[in-house]
Amino acid sequence: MPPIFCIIEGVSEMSKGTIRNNIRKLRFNYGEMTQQELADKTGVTRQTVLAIEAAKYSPSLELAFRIAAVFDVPLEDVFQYEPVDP
Amino acid sequence: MNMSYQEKSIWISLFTTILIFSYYFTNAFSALNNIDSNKTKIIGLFIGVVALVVIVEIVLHIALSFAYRKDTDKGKDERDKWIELKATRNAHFLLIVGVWITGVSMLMTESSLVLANIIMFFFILSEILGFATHLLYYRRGV
Repeated sequence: MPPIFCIIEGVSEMSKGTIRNNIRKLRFNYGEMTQQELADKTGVTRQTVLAIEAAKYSPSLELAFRIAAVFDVPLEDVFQYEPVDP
Repeated sequence: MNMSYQEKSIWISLFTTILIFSYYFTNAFSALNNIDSNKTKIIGLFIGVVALVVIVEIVLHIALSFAYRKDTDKGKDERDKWIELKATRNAHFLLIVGVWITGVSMLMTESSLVLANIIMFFFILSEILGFATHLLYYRRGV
């Protein structure tokens, strides 16, 4: 289980790097969209949106693009990959 | 607890399998001590247990579908499928171990009923492991 700060910040610890996401912030800026609304627009369950936000699941590239398309922003504005320093 | 329809469905299958098959194996393994006189009893017990599992699963899943009709329509999304694949891999690993153990057991017994129960035991154990890791991935993340 990722550390609690990772869940709050929406950071996923991976073997070679870190994936951050801004979905919670984007939902808020997009008319306070609920997780259920985002789930309906992207064709997944609300629990999957919740898991992505909490960095418990890294979405497929297709789903990542669908999420970015909902907010009408580039993929990099939703997900950021940060490699770990060697 | 925040559970999807798929997760609730797995909980039903896990409890049903554990409860009903623990009853079966408790009775079957003690009956296997005297195979000749208990052969019909063991086969009857097995058929009864399989029928019971099917009926209980159908009834509980119908009830679940009525209670969470909205979630049922959605089906499995990519996270559900990914978790299912990983859990199936774990179950498959244990099943392969069981097949090998059954193969070795053939050197010790010629009774097909005993061998069938050994492989059945590992099959059910692998199913339980599959359900349990399924739920673990839902909670812990993948």
